[in-house]
Amino acid sequence: MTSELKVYNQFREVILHIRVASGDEAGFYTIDATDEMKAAISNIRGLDFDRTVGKGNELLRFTAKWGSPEYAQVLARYLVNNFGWTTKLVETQQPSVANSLAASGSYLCYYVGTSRSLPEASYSLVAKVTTEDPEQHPSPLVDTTTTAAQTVELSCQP
Amino acid sequence: MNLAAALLPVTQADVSNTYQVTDTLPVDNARTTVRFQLATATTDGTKVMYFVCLYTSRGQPLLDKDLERWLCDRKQLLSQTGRSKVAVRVRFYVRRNFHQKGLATYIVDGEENLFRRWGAKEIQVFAMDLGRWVWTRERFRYSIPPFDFGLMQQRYREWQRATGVSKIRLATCLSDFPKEFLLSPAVGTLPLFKSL
Repeated sequence: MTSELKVYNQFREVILHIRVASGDEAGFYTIDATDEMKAAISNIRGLDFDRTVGKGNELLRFTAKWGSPEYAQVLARYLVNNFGWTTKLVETQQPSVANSLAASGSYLCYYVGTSRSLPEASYSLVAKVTTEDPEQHPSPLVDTTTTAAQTVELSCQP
Repeated sequence: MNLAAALLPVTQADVSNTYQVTDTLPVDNARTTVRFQLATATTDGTKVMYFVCLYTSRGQPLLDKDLERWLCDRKQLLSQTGRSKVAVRVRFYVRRNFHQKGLATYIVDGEENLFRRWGAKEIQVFAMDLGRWVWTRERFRYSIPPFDFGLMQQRYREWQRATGVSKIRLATCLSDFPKEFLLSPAVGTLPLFKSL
């Protein structure tokens, strides 16, 4: 599975945009990043993720095995909780409940975002809607913000 | 595994004695309590957690929250790849009217001896609140992992921009970050480490 993670600062600028592959071909591919974020992210390649954040009297722990499917999401949650950045996560190559839309001749949705064990803070998911022929139909990004345990439902329009 | 085995080669008494402080400090050692918890088969291996309460001779608490430490026999290292014995400083909140009396320094030095004797390869700190400033001072000799330093650099740049600083500066090391930044809401918890 591959995920794309975008991280935005308080000025709504993208400070990190990476592709994260899990499984046998686990890895990061940096699409865009500030120098600081590029340097930062290069240092966790190949490592299990393990960070703890204090929130009042609670300790929130963010752990993920390198190469695991949840790695990108855990990283995103850590960046939101510890630095106040906003993240958007696109998961691709996931089974899609929107395949029926493709059958009707609309866009083929490769992703339907469902927030899993999200923190109490609001959390951003992005659903990428691609076409069967990206050259003819530019691939829009459908953004939505969710709170815990919500399901993102996409409206796919040609 | 029981608590005694998890603490070897030190003992519960060794841990408790670490918090028996010199009589020049305003602590009534007879009132000091140390509470232990053992967790086995955690992500960090076997984990001893202990909590310390300190009081003055009049029964007044010296700490805002119980001092909390973990001794993990298989925790991920921050200084290098791999897992090993790691001591974690979780919480240490001295009440404001007992600041600057040498209590923290005394306890921190004693703890390092204890952690070494236990066999810790590394001490880790979750630097929160005022600890973000205290633990990052050079005299404590803590380091920050390069990943977290990069994130801090990014956040420092944004903080300067938001506060209207005309000439953006970069920190070259942990102690370069100014106090105002470290104690601002821009920063959450800093993971720090020291190899023993």
